[in-house]
Amino acid sequence: MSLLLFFLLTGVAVGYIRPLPAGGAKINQRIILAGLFVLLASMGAQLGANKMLLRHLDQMGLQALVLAGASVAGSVLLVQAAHLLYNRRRTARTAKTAGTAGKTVLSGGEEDGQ
Amino acid sequence: MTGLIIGAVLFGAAAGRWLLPAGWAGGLDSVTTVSLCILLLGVGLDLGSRRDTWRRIPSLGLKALLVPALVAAGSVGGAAAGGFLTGLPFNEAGAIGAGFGWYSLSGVLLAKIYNVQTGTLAFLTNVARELLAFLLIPRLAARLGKLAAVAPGGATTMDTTLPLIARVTDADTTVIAFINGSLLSALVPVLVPLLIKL
Repeated sequence: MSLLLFFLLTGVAVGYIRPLPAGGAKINQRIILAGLFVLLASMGAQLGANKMLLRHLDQMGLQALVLAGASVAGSVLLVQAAHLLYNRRRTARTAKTAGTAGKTVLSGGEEDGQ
Repeated sequence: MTGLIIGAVLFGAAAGRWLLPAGWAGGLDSVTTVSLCILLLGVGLDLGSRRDTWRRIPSLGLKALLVPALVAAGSVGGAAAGGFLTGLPFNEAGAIGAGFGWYSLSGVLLAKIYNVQTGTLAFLTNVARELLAFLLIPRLAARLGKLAAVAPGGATTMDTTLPLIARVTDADTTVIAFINGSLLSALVPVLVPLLIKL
């Protein structure tokens, strides 16, 4: 894990200090893609060689749907809850400010009357 | 692109089933380690080069950081709840949820550092998440609001689902979506190994 983190953080640091030029970014994308295909094919090969895993693929499909649905539901729920909370507080603050402004206007009027 | 990625997995599966001789696993392990290091170096270079995105964060305020934090917490928490329902331990379900829709990387990471079964499940789960995101983004934008439409995409909101988000929301939300995707993408290689080791 530390080796993987080292490579990731080195990449981020080097990229931030010396951002890739357009040509370099294109080459980098191709290298990422090549690495990705090697890894995906390798994961597939390990899956294909594992007969027990292949037998349980349909059950894994159902499990994957439940996990994906629950992940999406969790993220939407938290973002929406925070959004509603923020809006409620903002409305309350606006109402409070409007109330204070109204009072100031009123007290100003009373002073004028006196 | 999605077709090519799924094609690579299917090609590998066919090779593993019918072509590769017994005892190839050791050699393949070295190949995957080197490939993963090169891949992560490239991903890091790509993320680090996006200076403009990192600099835009302070101008958008807390919202730009809060959305990815909530999406991350909701994804891991939701996956853990889904794992509880399907009999999966917390570390496995949480790590799969921390893929945030980046199916290729989360799948290969877990296959490499944990086991192929969990890697395959992470791949399938995060493919399903991306498909669900495409279906839900327009509906959530119309019914719940613009920010809610950013949530399902996870890490994909910086690339594959970004054009759809831009179409159904506004410019500010599109920038937040891009930052959300960039930050979550940077978190995948950190959180997946951390959570699986719990």
